[in-house]
Amino acid sequence: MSKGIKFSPRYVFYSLDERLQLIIIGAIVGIFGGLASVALNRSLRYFSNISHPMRHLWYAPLLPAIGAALSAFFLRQVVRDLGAHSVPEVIYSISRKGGLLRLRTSFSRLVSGFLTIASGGSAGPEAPVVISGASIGSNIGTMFNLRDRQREVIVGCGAAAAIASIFNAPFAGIAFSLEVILGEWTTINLVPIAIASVVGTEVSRILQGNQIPFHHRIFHSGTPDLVACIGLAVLTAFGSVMLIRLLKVTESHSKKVTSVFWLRAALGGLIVGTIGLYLPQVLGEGYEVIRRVIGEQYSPGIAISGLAALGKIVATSLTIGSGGSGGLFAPCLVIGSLTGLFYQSTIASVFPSITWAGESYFALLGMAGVLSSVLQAPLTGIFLVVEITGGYEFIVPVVLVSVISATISHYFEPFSVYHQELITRGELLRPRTDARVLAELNVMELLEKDCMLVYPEMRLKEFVSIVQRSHRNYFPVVDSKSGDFLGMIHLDDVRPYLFNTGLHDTVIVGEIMNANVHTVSPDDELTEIITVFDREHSWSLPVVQDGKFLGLISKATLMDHYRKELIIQEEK
Amino acid sequence: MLEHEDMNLSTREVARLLDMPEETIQRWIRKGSLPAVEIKGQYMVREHDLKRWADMHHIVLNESPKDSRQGPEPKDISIFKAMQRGGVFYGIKGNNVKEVLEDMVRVVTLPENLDRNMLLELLLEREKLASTGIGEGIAIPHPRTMPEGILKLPIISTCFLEKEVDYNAIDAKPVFVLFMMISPSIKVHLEMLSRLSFCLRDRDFIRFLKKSPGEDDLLKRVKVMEERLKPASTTEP
Repeated sequence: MSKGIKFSPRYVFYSLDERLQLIIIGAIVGIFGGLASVALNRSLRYFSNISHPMRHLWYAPLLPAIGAALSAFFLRQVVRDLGAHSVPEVIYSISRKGGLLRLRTSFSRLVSGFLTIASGGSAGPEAPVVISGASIGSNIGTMFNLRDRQREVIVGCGAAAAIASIFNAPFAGIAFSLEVILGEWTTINLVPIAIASVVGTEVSRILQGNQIPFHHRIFHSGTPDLVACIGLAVLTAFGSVMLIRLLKVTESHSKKVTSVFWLRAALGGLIVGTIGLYLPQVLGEGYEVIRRVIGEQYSPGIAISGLAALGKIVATSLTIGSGGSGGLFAPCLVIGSLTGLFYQSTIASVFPSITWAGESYFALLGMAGVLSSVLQAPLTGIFLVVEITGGYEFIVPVVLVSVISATISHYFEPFSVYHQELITRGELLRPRTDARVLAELNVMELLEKDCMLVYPEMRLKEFVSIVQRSHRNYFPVVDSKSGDFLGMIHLDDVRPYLFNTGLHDTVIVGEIMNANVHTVSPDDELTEIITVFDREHSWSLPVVQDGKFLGLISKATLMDHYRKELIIQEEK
Repeated sequence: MLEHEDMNLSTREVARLLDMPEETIQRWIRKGSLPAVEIKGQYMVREHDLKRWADMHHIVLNESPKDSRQGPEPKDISIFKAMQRGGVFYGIKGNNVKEVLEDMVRVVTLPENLDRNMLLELLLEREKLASTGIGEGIAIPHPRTMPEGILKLPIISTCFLEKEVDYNAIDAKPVFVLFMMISPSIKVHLEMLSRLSFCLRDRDFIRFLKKSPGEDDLLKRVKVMEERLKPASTTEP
């Protein structure tokens, strides 16, 4: 009776609506993303119990050095997983590679991140978790035969699940994925990402319990506190700019110190370890420090808290800049909380008559400020801090500090630390932007081959008869024997002389062609070609490969294809 | 331009720099897409702002005025002056194309920075592509292209041959006079060629040439002919 109709789960799945498919895959990715983050979190916690007593021993500074070297060695030599930092790599893959990430990436960064952080390197577990979540998403997407556009969303799901589960903060996961990773807020993105985020959070709650990572004391804040927030926002903005700049400096300078990658990582780790001898707060991912600051069990005074914040900035730049593996989330939170603490102690001693809301109040705001500024993602900063502290009642100052701090730091460092490198390389391509449209089109798609070739020894008379038969204004000149491209004739340049019959036998094509015409190659990026069009004031450019003429590329055709491409991309 | 960092640009100047109509620039300013200030009811754009804006939007500013990329306009070209510069020579020796060109390059006056051997090579190379003998015993040897920056003004050297030479000319007639033409650009070359060919279409002039006229007589006659040509040859708008 039911002959010919195959009833398999696979058939059912593929007959579903596309959105429903994405939601299901998003949920699966959420589970794995959640598991990855629980795994890293658990191993870090386990190891920190062992390593904590060792931090006071004489050889303590060697630990981060060994950890960083091992981590770099593991990435380079064992799994051969090179590439940029974790989060930029995910964004790059979405920008340029349709969300493709290698399978080994799903665990390699977890291992290298563990080695760096557990040994005391100043970095966070979030970035390794984000890239493994993203890579899990990418590979599951490929398994389900998803198209590039859908795979990109699923990669965003993996990243969201990772952040959501490591911080037990579903909304921060959504915000991070949309704001930083995908860069666009559309419903088709939002739904699967939200599902993945929720599933990831739930996985971590089942395995680790539903706990708010950083408990805070209840405080009573007044108008003076809100006014004081503005000062804190300025301070966190400057702290963030300092961190971003120092990261760049260490990254570019460490390559000059030594070209041996593991030695570079080891040196960075050694300096961090040495700083750790005097300021143990800077070591590791620093969750313990945040916990004590928020719980108001840590009151080191103005000088030490300021110094610790600076130390953390330096240690983080060294760890990550020298090639260690890890993220910026946790360090940002530590820097933020210490900055808040420093600020609170300062204003408390300047205005002793005012009753301030307390250290934890400013520490929380500092966290939101630094995170929003460094990531240039205020929503992520706001929701993360509110969720990890359970402090919904003080959302007003959190929003205030986040947006002011992000705005001020934007003035000095306009791009998120994750986007910066891609932007300088011109590879941050958000959907429906000029750069994205131009990147997707390529020269061969735009090639016009219906050109009439002319040869240098042709007399003007013959050329005129070719002009009569053609419908173009550009005539490529090629060598009649070798076929090599020699130059172009633009009709506008020779038009006045075409009808001068006295010249018909005197002039040959070879002497009226423009031999210095700018040529493009089939591999050139359209963005470069557009610049050439503008610079040369040209409407058509010859496409030449290995000296041979392939065809013309014209502004008019480009415009036509550009518009269609834009319309296609809008169809989300 | 860089000296005045804060120079205010009018919408017309901005339109030129962006290579867009002024109406578009004003619409962009009204929309707030292009930063501008209002001075006495006129929109003005600060140069610094414009540069930053263009940079941010990956737009190339059209800094150079339009004519600088075109080279000299052919309006001021005169074959009379070019012939004056190039000079007139008599009794060029040789039995074939190569030999007469060799002798010609040896005797003509040339700008100091122009290498005679290179010129000869370029002339021969051009003859190889197609003969420059245009018929009626006249040839216009010239290089196909000139390396950039050697010449500012075109030159025509008039060279009467000792005896007629077979030049593979288009009408197979042997050649008795060479007009060697060197131009700084293709545009100039074409304009000169079109003027010269106008003169050479005149049968009287060819008969006059056959008599190997003296330099002064020749130039005077060319000057008269070119003046007749001037109103007719408005090639450029």
